[in-house]
Amino acid sequence: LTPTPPPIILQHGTTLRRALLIQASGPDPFYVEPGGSHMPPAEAFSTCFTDGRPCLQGTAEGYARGKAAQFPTEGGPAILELEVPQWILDILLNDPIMAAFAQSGEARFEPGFGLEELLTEWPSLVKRVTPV
Amino acid sequence: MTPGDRIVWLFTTPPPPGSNLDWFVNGLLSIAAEVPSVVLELVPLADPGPISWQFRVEVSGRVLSPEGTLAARVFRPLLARLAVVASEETGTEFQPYGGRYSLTRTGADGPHRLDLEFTNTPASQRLTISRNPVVVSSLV
Repeated sequence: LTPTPPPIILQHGTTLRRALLIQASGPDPFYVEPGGSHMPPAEAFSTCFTDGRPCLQGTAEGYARGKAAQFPTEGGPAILELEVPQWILDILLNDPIMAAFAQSGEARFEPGFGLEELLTEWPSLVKRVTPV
Repeated sequence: MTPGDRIVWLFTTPPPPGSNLDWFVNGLLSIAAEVPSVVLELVPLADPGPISWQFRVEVSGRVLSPEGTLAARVFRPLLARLAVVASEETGTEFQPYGGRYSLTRTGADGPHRLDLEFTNTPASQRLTISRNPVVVSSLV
């Protein structure tokens, strides 16, 4: 038997309120930020690798602090850490755009590019929320 | 190709294997150093159903709308990377959701100051790059 590769640890920086919501129910591509119904939905779930590669678009902690500053009533900055099976990451890495994002330190889940598989597996994934 | 056509090509062609977001950022900034102004934005389409986006390019007043979905997929991560690059180069605060930065890039006719203004939120994704002369300070 081929051993199952170890899961990949990813981090998502956001507010504590949203981190707990995502931890419980999974990322919602139709999530609309507070501020009005005219806001388009998020459409993607963006995470950072934790394997030491540079995060060229900024760290999860940086995004958590930025989001907490934008929404100061949401409990402060927090990081949602999750363990994702390698086969879901492979879906991203097989797409040239997602592979370029991954080279930049980002694992970005979009509809049609790993998000559906991530949501299907979400209940069984190991997840942790840490205030920062 | 005109600068506008080169930007359209940049945002409609998959990057070479092994490249990262700097492929797009460096390509865009090098073209922007050749023209007075560049505006890039995602415009929500009013079609019924799920929201979809049109990527719009304006180069010195000429408007182009690249086909395909690559540009719309790349634009928000590109803005995030651009904010990091600009923050590091200028030694100023990282502003992931919008801000202003000035960078220096060299075009065919010498160095220029590129003034960047951008927003990168769910409600607005827009980047304006204006080319201006480099301000040379002299010591007396």
